[in-house]
Amino acid sequence: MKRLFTGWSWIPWLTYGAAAGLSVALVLIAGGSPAASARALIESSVLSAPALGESLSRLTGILFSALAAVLAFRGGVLNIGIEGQFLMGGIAAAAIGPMTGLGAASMPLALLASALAGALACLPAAWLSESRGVPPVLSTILLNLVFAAAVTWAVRGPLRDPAGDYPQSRPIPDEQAISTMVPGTRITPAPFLALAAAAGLAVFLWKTSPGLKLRAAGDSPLAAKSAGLSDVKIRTWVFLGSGGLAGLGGGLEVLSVTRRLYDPFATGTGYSGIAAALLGATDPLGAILSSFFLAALGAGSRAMEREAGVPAAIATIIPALAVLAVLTHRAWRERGQ
Amino acid sequence: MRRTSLALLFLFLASVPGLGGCRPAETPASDSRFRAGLLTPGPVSDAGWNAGAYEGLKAIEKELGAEVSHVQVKSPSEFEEQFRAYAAKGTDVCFGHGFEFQDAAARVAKEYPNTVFITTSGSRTAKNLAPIVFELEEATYLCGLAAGRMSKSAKAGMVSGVELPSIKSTFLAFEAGLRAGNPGARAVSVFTGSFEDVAGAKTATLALADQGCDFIFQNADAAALGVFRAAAERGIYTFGANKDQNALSPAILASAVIDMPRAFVEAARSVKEKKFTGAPIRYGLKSGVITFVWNPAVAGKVPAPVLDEIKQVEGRIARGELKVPRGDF
Amino acid sequence: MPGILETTLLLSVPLLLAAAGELVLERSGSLQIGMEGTMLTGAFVAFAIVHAGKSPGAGLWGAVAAGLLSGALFALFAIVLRADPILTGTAWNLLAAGSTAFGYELIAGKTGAVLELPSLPVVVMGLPWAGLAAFAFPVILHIFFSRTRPGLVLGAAGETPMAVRAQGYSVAGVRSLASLFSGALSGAGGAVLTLSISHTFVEGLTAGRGFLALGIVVFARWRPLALLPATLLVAGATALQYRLQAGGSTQIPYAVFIALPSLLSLAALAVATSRRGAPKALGTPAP
Repeated sequence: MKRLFTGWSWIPWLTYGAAAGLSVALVLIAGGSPAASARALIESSVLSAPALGESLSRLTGILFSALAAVLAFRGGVLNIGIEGQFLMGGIAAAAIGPMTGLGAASMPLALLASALAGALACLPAAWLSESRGVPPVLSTILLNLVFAAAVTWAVRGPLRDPAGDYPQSRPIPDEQAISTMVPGTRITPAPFLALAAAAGLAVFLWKTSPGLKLRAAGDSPLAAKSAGLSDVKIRTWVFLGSGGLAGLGGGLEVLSVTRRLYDPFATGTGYSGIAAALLGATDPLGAILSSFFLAALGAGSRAMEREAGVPAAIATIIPALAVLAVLTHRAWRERGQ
Repeated sequence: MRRTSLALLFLFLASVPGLGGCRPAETPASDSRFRAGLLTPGPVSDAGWNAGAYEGLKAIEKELGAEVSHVQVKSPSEFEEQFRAYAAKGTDVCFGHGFEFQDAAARVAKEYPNTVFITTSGSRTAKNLAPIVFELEEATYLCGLAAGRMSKSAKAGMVSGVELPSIKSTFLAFEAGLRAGNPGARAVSVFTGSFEDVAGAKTATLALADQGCDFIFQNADAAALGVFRAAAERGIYTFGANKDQNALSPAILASAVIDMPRAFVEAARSVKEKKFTGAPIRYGLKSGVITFVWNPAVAGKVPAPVLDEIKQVEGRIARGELKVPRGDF
Repeated sequence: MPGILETTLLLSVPLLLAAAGELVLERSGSLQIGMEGTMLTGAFVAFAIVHAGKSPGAGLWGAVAAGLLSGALFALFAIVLRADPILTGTAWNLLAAGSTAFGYELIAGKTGAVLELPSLPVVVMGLPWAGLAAFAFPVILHIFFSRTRPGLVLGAAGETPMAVRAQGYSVAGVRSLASLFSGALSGAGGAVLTLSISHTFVEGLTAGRGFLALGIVVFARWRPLALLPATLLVAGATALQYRLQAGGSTQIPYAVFIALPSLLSLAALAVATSRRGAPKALGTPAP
């Protein structure tokens, strides 16, 4: 049986061919040039410093969201509310700077607040899960809608920029923001912070005793319980930590990319993070790779619109096809094993 | 792990449509050609606000022989990225279609002095940055005036998707017009939370009709059809906004129209002819870019004195004798 | 308030159809968070068929077929190939949003057009027959789960899949059937949204209703009969919030109105006295 599958191991690779073929067909139907699209996709995501800067600026949010998902899934918590926790982190970061008036010193404070806000955003779901038996996968989806409305309210209420009537928060002044390191690009320290966080999470999960306990609890709650570990306690900490990472991502997004809170603020970053975590085999290092892949695909697909005239609708489809292709490939391979 | 990485890397190459085998990509157009770019906050298939901008871009392509490009941005984190990408490619004029694009345009404008950035609405200016301000309020004031004169219940409703200053400003002017037509009249607004939610816009209109509103103003973009449909069902009047929507329903009394293609072409032409100064570009009734158009299908139903009065007030606004209130944004 | 009951009933139909389908799928142990995508697909297919000159009834059945296909796709990826259901659902939402937007562009042109469609014939209280069927589903499903053998097997697939397998049933097969049913109902819900409520299609027409339906299933605590009050409450809250705004009560920020249905679902969960939890094997791969 195994030999049969080994002999046919090229089959899963067809999924990529199918995804690419479908993409080409769609571009052709829309009257675009596949070659120009391909060039735009690659050139504008990785092939120059400014292009790389754009991919990296997308990487920060996706990778932090992915790390949040890795931590949660490893600890046995299906936290799908990363989008909402990311939003709450953004709200906190946008609130702290202008409110405290601390100048440059407010930046670390804002990041701390955003992590805290992300963690707090998990509490309702954690409580519903432990005391009401509501699966987090469902409660967090509902909370995402609530937190999106919280952004809608914040930018029109307490955080509204008094200059002008537009629903947006006050701008983050330069000295409180995370600025570019390479002039002419948007390469800031933020994505490198995300990479460091990924390394830190990897060490925590694989090399420390709390990390081991966490994984044990995630793999088999019953076994962990019988080994004397409090699974409720672990799950709650995992939930808070996961929310903290997501919130930090939202805070960094405000401080390094948008410099204000807007409505809508994150359109799917949290969900992309979940996709990246799963594509990266729920491993922090794998998540780096898949997050970068999704970030580059995001930047590249916009470039296809801009430079090859591909409709926005198709630029939405192509990353989805890519994710489905990876999914199919993985699933097929695992069937063979 | 390694298999995964390999898979991802391979996918990155494989997902690139037709990397091999296809004819080589065209070389970019020579630098002499005029280039225009457009960022829209939503899909250009909305037959409204974003569609107007896209038509403007196509008009620039046709009338100025420009090379044009469009991108739909999904979140604010993309604003700056897209402006930069256009500027880096040597785009001559780049439009950000909305108030919210100002910050990003201002940041990028500093670094790319050879590209002109234009935001539709706003106030930020620089040597190479200015807003186009559509004073649609002047036409929505006239809608309000007509409603004030004709409403039997002295109650009017206003429906939109997301609560934005540009929308609230048109509501403000409508309400002022309504009061000018009937000092005792009042107007209430309903926001559905989405410019795509046709069902929501329809439900909101029905709710307003049940409250006794017999005129409904809308600035609901793609969701407007819900308003038209509900108004037709209840036998009350509504208005078209942004585009001439009169043909869509006999329930539409008149439309407040923006001729976006003309505004876009004029702005782009000033850039092309090096006449762009960085001053805000305003368009009201006087310019002809903003118009108030009665629906021919209901022409016989509007009392003659109202027709006369609207015509007269329209003239006074165009001549600057009457200032229409607008929001502070 | 003459119209509020009728409005509530009509707004309930798409939510009820989608939620009833999802309830069956979740009771079988699988989880599709991509209902928004399936509803959007149904909404678009109904639009495309009716716009091409076919009857609204044909549009509805076309949407059901498209929903079946969506359900089959989900079953293939998430159940048969055992890919992660959350990821499959997320990718499906993106795929459906992009494809329907592109399809709409092909029909209505790049800058769109306002295309009005004929409605499904009204049977009673402003509802088409599909709407009446929607209100019958909770009762039918209640009987299905409590009185029939297939219903018991399906429910067991979500609680104790190993036992179901031991009895000689294919858990993946049971869940795939549930996915087909769920897809068909979500597709029908999208069609009703297009044909009886919106009378047109625009990009993103569903505006989050797929996620609301997901909330309704939780709200109802996976009990079919509870779907009725849960849906009516959520739809009623939506209808009511427009009334409140139309009544001029501007003291409440409008963000509260937007969050109302989700807050309501969460609040109901928080104070619920029922201890019935989620299916125990929810979201786990079929053995």
